[in-house]
Formats: sequence, structure tokens, C-alpha cells
Amino acid sequence: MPSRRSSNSSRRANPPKLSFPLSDRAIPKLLVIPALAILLGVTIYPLLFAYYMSVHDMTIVNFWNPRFIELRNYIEIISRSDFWYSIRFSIFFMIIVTVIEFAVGLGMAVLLDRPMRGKRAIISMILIPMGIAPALFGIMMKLMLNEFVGIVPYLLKQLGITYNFFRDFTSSLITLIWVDVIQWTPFIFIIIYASLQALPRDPIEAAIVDGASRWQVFRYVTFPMLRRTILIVIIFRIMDALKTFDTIYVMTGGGPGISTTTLSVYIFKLALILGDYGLAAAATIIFLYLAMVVVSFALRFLRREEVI
Amino acid sequence: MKRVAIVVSIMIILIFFFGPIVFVIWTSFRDYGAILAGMFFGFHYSLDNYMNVFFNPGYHFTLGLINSLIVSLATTLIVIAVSFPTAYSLARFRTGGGTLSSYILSIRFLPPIIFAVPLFVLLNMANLNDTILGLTIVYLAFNIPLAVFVLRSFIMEIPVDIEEAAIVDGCSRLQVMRHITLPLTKAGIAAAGILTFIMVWAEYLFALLLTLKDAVTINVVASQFVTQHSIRYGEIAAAVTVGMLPTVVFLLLIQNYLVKGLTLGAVRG
Repeated sequence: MPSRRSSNSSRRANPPKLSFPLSDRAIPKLLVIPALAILLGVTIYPLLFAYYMSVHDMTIVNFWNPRFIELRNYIEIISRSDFWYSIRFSIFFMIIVTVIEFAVGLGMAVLLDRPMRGKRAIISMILIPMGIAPALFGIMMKLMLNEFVGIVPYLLKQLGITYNFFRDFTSSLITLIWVDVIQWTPFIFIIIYASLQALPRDPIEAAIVDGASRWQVFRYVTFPMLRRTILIVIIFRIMDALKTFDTIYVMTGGGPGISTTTLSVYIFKLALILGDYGLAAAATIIFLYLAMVVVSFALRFLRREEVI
Repeated sequence: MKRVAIVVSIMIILIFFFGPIVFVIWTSFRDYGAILAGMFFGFHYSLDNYMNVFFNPGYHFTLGLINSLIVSLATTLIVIAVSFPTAYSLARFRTGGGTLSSYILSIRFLPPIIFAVPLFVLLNMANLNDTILGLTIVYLAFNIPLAVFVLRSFIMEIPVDIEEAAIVDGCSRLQVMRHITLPLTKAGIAAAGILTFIMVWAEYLFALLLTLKDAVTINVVASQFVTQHSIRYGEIAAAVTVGMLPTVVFLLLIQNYLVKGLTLGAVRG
């Protein structure tokens, strides 16, 4: 590889006339090499290594001389009920937050799609949660909901309500969904809002002149024009929701028990807390195939919509 | 009546979305005793939390801040440097066809935990765990896809005619890229660079897994505060406030390019 690159740079030093036809064919490929080298080195190589790890007994104890144990890590991981639970929880969490965030984000976009005073400031304030590191945002929300010093439990107490946001599975789940909704609804909101603002006004005005109600205009004119944007935004949100780690890890650590453990949290704990890298690698490979199913759907759609 | 309903709903939205930020900033200025006593009103403000967070020798907050700054800046610079040529190549020549684009995009989509475990072991073997270099190498790969696609969409908006005219005038392809396309993509480079910086600054999973004490980032330090000094709420709030400042400012700065950036150019804002 180095020789090809150096030949390119010497070619650049040459008078352009001579090198032109040849270099023009090679240059597009040469241009992608640095980025591609990094990508392959940091993604493909580790994935291949993950296969190797997954068939070896590699733990924190025998890190340097792992033993080949065939598929025993896979057998072990699929016989664990908490592994299956974390898969189910990941998918459940992904679907529920995407649905809520889409509904709220769309509503907010429609609400703000009208002239009003101070709109730029309002939009900026709505966007801010998205600009905060999820881990920090989780800590922030944990503080706000803390039963001793948080303002929300305090205000609820003034109303005569005692509520612990992290008491059990249900309350923890609602809290995590709430936090995710606050952080990522702005993402859906801003994209739909921008598309709404960019829509041609003529069809909408024509429908109003024809006597359509506000709801009918939205349902039969605006919504169909937003179809592409909505699908794109849902795809991006679904892919990111499947990754959820930061907020859950800092807020509940996957608990109480394992009840809010997503696959990301589960694999992370297998590696870092249990120290069983082989087992974590087997779980990784299974997650890879699971995620590839979702990713390939997303890619097929994006290609159809000519995004890529 | 309808106006009132709209104003009220916007108030509720702002309380939910902006309230937490107000609360954490407010808490960061309240003093220790007042917070613990649950006294929300009355004047109990000081800068003690910030003083402690920055200058208490037992905390590694300043180290985390410096590390985050170095890693974010280094990653951003390198990511842009390698992504621009790639984006140019994809935009103008469709290099690698759908396969290369799909591969790059799938790295943006796949959960990072899939790469985390083998990377942890590999970096351990290379003695790169808990180093800024190791962390930066990992961040490079996971931020190239976003930068490539954002830059690609900016480059595709530049008319090809300009470049062809330059080639007719005797410029080589690389000269065209450097002297024609690059200056015209300034806004895109700024947007992609700032987005990359935000992403790296906000990253938590790899930072937590790949650092221990020397290369800890601000998010790792802040989350350690929660477990190790869980009762010092004011200091936690101060740490969070400082940690969110750069990315929030940057986000507001690129607000106009946000939609394009977040959807990798698929939706125009």
C-alpha cells in the first residue's frame, strides 16, 4: 500500500499533461484508502477477532493463553435466560421509545409550524437536551428525580404524592423511557419541523380553499408529503434506540435486578464485570446478526429512497 | 382560546425539555447544606461546587476535561482530513458503488457494543488500554461514517461544471479537489467537524470500557462522581454543567445545518 501512495504523490509532482489519464482513473480509489484503512482496521479486524474469541475460553484469568472450546460459549450464552431477557428488553425498549418520540416529535413540529414570537429561542431550548452527552443527561435526570434532593419528588410531595422513580421495574422503566423521550424527541422534532417548513404551501392552501378541515389537510395533504422524511427519521431513531446504553447504565445500571438490561448493557457487564471475554464475544456475534437484520432493512430502504 | 392552548402547550414542552437543564445549573450553584436539607428556596448560593470540582486534588475532573478536549480535537481533525477525500471520491465517482457506501453507513448504524469487546481485548494486547492514542484510534473509525456522508451531501450540491471548467483549464483532479471543491465546502466541513466533536465529547461506552485512570474522559469522571461521591450532589451538578457546555454551544452554533447533519444529508434542513 505505501508504494502505491508514494507513486501517487510523485505523479502529482509531474506535469499534469503526462499523468492525467492514468491518475484520473486511480485517484478516486486512492482517495478512499486512508479512511477505508482505519475503518477496516477498527471494525472488520475486531469482528474477525470476535469470532476467534467466541470459540475460546478467554477470561480475565487465562487472558494470554485461551483454550479452544468449540461452541461451548454459544451453548452457554443461549442457555442463559437473562441473555434472552435482554434481547427482548432491547427490542421492547427500541419500539416503545421510537413510537412515543415519533408521536410527541410530530405533534411538537406541527404545533410550532406557525408564526409566533420568540420561536427561534423556543426551538433552541427544545434542541438542547440532544446536545448533551447521554451519560451526563442521565446523571442530570437522576439528580432531578432523586428522592432526597430532586425537585420533581419535592414538588410531587407538595401535592401530597410520594413517588420513587427508581423503586421497581415499572417505575424504573417509566423513568428511563421518560429520559430517552426528553433527550431524543428533539431529534425527531427538528427534522420533521424543518421538512414542514420546506413544504410547498400551494397544495395546502388549495385544500383549505376547497373547504378541507385542519385535520383533513394534515391527513391527506401534509402527511403524504412528509412520508419520506418520516421514514428516514424513524429509521435513524430505531437504529440508535437499539444501541441504548449510556443513560440506562448511569441511571439504573440495568436494574433493579436485570430488569432494565439492554443487550448493550448485558454484553458490557459480561466483559467488564464478569471478565468472561469469550462469552461476551459469543453474545456479540449473536447481537451482530440480530442487528444486521435491522441494518439491512434500513440500508435497503435508504437505497430505494436514493439516500445512498 | 386557541392561542391560550398553544401558549400553554409550549410552556409545558419547555418545562419538560428545558427544565432539567435549568435545574442542574441551579443546583450547581446551591451550597452543600441547602441541597442536603432539601431547601429549594431562600438564598444559599456559592461557587464552592465549582471550586471543589476543579481544584480538589482527590477528583480527576480537570484531567477528564483535558483528556476529552485532546481526544475530541484530535479525532475531529483526523476524521475530517481522511473523510473529505473519501466524500469527494464517493460524491464524484461513486467509488465502490453501493457496497462501499453501505459498508460505511452500516458502521454508523450498528451498535458500538458489537465492536467493544474485541477492541477492548485487542487494545489490551497492544498495551493501548487507558491511553489517549487507543481511544482516539477507536473514535476515528466510528466517526468517519457521519463525516463522510455529511461532506458528501455538501459536495454533491456543488455544480460539477465548476470542476469541469477547471479541468479544461489544466488542473489535475487533486488540484480541483483542493483548490476548487475544498473552499466551496467550508460550511460543510465546519458542520461535519462540529458534529464529530460533539459525538466524541458525548461518547461514553468506549470511554468507560477503554479507560481506567490516565485517559478518562469527562463523562467517565462525571459518572464516577455519582458512584464515589454520591452524596455531593452540588458537585455532580457542577461537573455535569461544565461537561455539557461545549457540546450545547456547538449544537446551537450549527443549528442551521443540524437536520442535514443528523440525517447524513438525507433530509435538507
